[in-house]
Amino acid sequence: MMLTYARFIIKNRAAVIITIVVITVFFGYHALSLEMAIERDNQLPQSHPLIKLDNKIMDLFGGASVAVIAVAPHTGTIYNNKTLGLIAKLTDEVAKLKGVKRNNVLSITSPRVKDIVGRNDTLDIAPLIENLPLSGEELKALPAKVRANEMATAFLVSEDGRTAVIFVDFDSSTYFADAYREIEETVDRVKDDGHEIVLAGSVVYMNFIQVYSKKMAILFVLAVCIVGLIHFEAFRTIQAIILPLVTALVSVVWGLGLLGYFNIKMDAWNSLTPILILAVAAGHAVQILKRYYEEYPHSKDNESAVIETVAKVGPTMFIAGGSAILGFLSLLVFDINTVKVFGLFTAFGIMSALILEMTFIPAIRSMISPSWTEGMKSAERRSCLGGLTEGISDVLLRRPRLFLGIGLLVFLTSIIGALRLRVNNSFIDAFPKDDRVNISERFINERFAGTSTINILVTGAGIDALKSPRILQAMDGFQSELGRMPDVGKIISLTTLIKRTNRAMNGDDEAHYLIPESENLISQYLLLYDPDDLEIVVDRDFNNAVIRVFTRNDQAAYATRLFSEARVLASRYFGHLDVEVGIAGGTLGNQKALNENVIKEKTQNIWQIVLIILLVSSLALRSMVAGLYVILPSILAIVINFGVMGITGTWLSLSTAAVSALTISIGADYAIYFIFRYREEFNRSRDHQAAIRGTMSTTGKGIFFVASAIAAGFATLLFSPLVYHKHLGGLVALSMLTSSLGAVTLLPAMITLFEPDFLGLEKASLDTKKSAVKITP
Amino acid sequence: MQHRTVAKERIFYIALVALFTLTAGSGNLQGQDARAIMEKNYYVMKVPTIKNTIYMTLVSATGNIRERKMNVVGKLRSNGIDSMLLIRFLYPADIKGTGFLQIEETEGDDNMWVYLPGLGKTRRIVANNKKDSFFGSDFSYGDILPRKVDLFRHRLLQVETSDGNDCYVIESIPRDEHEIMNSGYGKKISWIRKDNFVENKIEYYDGAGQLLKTQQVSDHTIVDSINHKWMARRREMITHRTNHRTILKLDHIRVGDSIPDAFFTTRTLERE
Repeated sequence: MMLTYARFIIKNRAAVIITIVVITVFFGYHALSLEMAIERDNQLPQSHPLIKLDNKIMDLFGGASVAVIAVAPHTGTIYNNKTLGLIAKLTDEVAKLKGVKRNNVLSITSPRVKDIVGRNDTLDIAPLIENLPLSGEELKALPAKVRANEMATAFLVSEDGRTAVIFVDFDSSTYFADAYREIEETVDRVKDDGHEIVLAGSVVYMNFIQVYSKKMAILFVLAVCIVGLIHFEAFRTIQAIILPLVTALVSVVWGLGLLGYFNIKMDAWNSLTPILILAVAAGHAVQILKRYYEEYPHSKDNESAVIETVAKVGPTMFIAGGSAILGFLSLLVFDINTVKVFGLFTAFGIMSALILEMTFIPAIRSMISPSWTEGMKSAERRSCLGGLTEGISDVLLRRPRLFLGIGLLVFLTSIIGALRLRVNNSFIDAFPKDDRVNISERFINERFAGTSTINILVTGAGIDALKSPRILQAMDGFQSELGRMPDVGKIISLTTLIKRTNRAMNGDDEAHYLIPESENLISQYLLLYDPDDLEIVVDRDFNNAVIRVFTRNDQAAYATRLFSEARVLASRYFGHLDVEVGIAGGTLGNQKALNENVIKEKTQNIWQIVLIILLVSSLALRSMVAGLYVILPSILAIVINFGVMGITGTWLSLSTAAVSALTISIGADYAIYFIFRYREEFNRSRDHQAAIRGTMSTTGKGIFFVASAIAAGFATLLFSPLVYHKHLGGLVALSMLTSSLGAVTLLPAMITLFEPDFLGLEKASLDTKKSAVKITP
Repeated sequence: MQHRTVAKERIFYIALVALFTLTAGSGNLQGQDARAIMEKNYYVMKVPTIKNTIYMTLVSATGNIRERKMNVVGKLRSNGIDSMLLIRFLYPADIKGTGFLQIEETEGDDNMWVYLPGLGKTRRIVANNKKDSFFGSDFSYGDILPRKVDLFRHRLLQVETSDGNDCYVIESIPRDEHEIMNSGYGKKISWIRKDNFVENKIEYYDGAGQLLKTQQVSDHTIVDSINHKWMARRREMITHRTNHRTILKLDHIRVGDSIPDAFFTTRTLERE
C-alpha cells in the first residue's frame, strides 16, 4: 500500500508541489498577521480556586496590571519641593494615560491619600500634601506627618524617606507592552537630572518577558544555522542541508499561520515552539534522508530510491510522529491557556512535518539532480560517529549486562538527586540577577514593603456587614499576627482607616488606636469618608473588604508557607463569625496556583503522554512489552533530568516541567525508529548480531544526528535572557543526549538479554544469536 | 410691586438672551449673557430660610439599594450669598442623630462641625471638601451648595429642548487651576430651563475632558412665587465610572419660616 502511495506522489509531483506551495502561501499570509502579546489570563490556570478568587478581587478592587514608579533623588530625601513636584507631575500625567484606572493611581501627592489628625475639638481631614510648593514650615513638618500615616509610610514613601513610589493600575484589557510604553514615555518626558526613576511591577516584568521572548526570532535563526551545520557535518551534501530545513521551516510557517488564522497571540511560551518544531521536523527529515542515502546506492535510480524510502520509513514515521502529536495534543487538557496553545501549535507543526515529508519532500527529491546526493560515501567514512556506533555494537553484543548495569546505576543516582527536587515558580526569577527587571524589583523591595502581594477577601452576609466591630476586630487581629511572618512588609485594610479615625476623634490619643466597640460609631465614622478614598480596601456596599499584604518574596514555596499560616490564622480569627474569608489573589496567589497546577497537571500530563505513547506503540508493535521498550529510554532520560535539577537546585517550574513532555514525545521516536529498523534488519539477515550492527550503523547513527540536531537547536535557548528559557534549553539538550544514548544502548542490550517476543524472533535465530555472543572474543 | 419688578427683570433677561442668541455677536457679549443666566440660576434657589426632608437613595452598580433620610434646616446669611445649613440624619438607625453644621464663607474655607452620637462629641472639621462626596453619595458638597458664578467662565452653547423644556445649554469652565482642584471638575455643561432658570440636567467633566457624572433634575416646584424662588424635588446623579447612582428627593419643604441665627450653633447640633 505504501508503495502505491509513494508511486502516486511521484507521478503527480507537480500537483503535489503546487498544492503544498499554495497551502504554504496561505499559512504564510496568516503568519504575517501574528502579534505578540502576553495576557495575564492566558498565563494562569483559570479554574484554580485561587485564580477565581483573585479574578473576583480584581473585579471589585482592580490591580490586575500594576506599574510601580519609584522616584529617588540622587542625594537627600524626597522632602523637598523639587522631588514632590516631580512626584505630583508624574502622578497627574500617568493618571491621564490610556487604560489607567484614574482613581487607582496612588502616590504621596494623591488627594485621596488623606491625613486625619485630631487636635482638641478639631478633626483635620485633608490630603497629606496640598497645594505644592510647600512652605518651609510645611516641608519641615512633612517627614513626621508621613511617618505617622500608616497608608504612606513604607508604602508610598520608604522608611528612610529617600524614595517614593507611584502605583499605577491599568485595566485588564490593556496590553502589558502598551502600558509599559506609555509609562516609559511619560517618565522620559518628566524626569530630570536630579532623580533616579525606577520602574517595576507586573506591567514591567510582563513587558520584558515579551521583549525577551521576541529575541526568540534571532535564536531561531541561530538554531536553523546550527541544525543545518550538523546535517552538513553528518552527510556532506547540499541536499542534507536544504531539504530537512525546508521541511522544518515550512512546518514552522504552517504552525505560525495556524496561530495567525485563529488570531492567537504569540507569548513567552509559544515563542519557543518554532525552535521545537524546527528540531523535531528536522529530526524526522533526517531519518528519511538517512534511509534515502541507503536506498540510493542499491538502485542508482533516484526515483525508485525515493519510492522505496517513503514506503519503508513512512509507517515508522507515522507511528513516531503520530505519538508525538498525540502527546502534545494531550496538553489541551491543561487549565492554562498558553499551555494549550503550545500543545496545539507544536502538534500541528509536527503534523505539518509528517505531511511534508510524505508529500512535498519526496516530490522535490525525485526531481533534483543526483549530484546533490554525492559526497555521502566519503562523509560516512570520515564520520567519527561510524566508529562510535561500531564500538557500542561491539561492547554491547559482548556485555549487554554492563549497559543495563550502568543504566540502573545512573537511574538510582538520579533518583537520589531527584529527591532534592523543589517545585517553585517566580515571575521575577525569570530574569537573571543582573537584569534591569530583577535589579528594579530589588531596588523597590529593599526600600519598601515589597512588590509581591496576597489579597485576602473578607465577604460579609450582606450590605454593611463589614461595619461590625466583631468582624473588624477579627480582621485587625488577623493582620497584625500575619504581619509578624518573615518577609511580610506591610498590610493595608479598612481597619487601619477606622483605627486612625477613632484616634483622631479622641484627640490623637494613642490609646484609642483601635476598633471601637460600637457599630453605630463605626457607621458614623465612615460617613465622614468619601467612598472613593475607601475604594482600595472596601466596596461601596461595605460587604467585601480586601486585606492587602505586601511581601518581599515572590517564590511559590514561600507563598505556600504564608498561605497555610494565613489559613490557620483565618480559621482562628474568623471561624466563629458570619463571614467568608478567601485567602488568595495577588502575585503570591498566582504563584501558588501555578505551582499546584504544575504538580497536579504536569504529573497528570506526563502519565498521559506515557500512556498515549505506550498505547500507540503497543498497538503498532502488537505487544504491551514493546510499548514498555519504547518508553523506557525516555523515562530514564526524565529521571536523569529530575536528578540533575535536584542536584543543581533548578526548580521544577512550569517551564522545566515541560521538558518531561518534550523528552517523552521526542525520546520515544528514537526507540520506535530503532525497534522498527531492528525488526527489518533481523527479518532480512535472520541474525541478531548482524541485525544489531546493521541497525546501529543506520538508524542508530540517524538517532545520534537527530538528537544532536535537536539538542543543538534547543541549546540556542541558553542565549536567551530569560532564565527559564536557559533552563529549558539546557535540560532539553541533556534529555536528548540521554534518551538517544538510552535508545542505542539500553534497547539493544535488553533485546540481547531478554529476547522479547514482539520482535518475532524465531527459535532458530535466537540460538544463532546466543552462540554468536559466546564465540565473540 | 415686588412681583412686577421680578417679572420685569425676567423679561429684561429673556430679551437680552434672545437678542444675543440671535445676533451671537462677540464672544465677550455672549459670555456676559451666559453669565447672567448662570447668575439667575444661582439665585433662583436662594431662599431666606428653608426646612425640608431629604430622602437619599444610593443605588450601587449591582442594584443594591441603601436608603437614608435627613432633616435639613437652612438660612441665607446677611450677605445674601452664603448659607448656613444644619443637617440631621433620621434614618438608618446606625447613623440616626448624626448631625452636620455648615456655615459657608465666601472668603475662605467653610466652617463645618460634625456631631457623632456614638461618641457624644462635636468636632470641628477642617477640610477643603468641595469635591468630596456628600455623605457617601454621588453628589459632592460643591454639587449641593452651588459654586459661585464668577469662579467659572460661562459660554452659551445653544438653546435646545430637554425633557420637553426649552433650555439654555451653558458650558462653564473654571477660571483657574485652583478651582479645578477645588471642584474636581474641568468643565460643566448645564441645561438651564428658560422658564424658571432651574437646571434640568448637568454634565460634569474632569480635567481631561472625560464625562464623570450626569445629574438629572426634575419635579421643579415654585416655593416662593412672590420672589420667584424654585426648588427641584428630585435630583439624580450617576457616576459613570462606577455606575453608582444617588437619588435625592425633597419633601416637606417650608420656605420663609423665621429661624434665628443662634439655631446654627454646635449647641443645637448636640441636641439630638
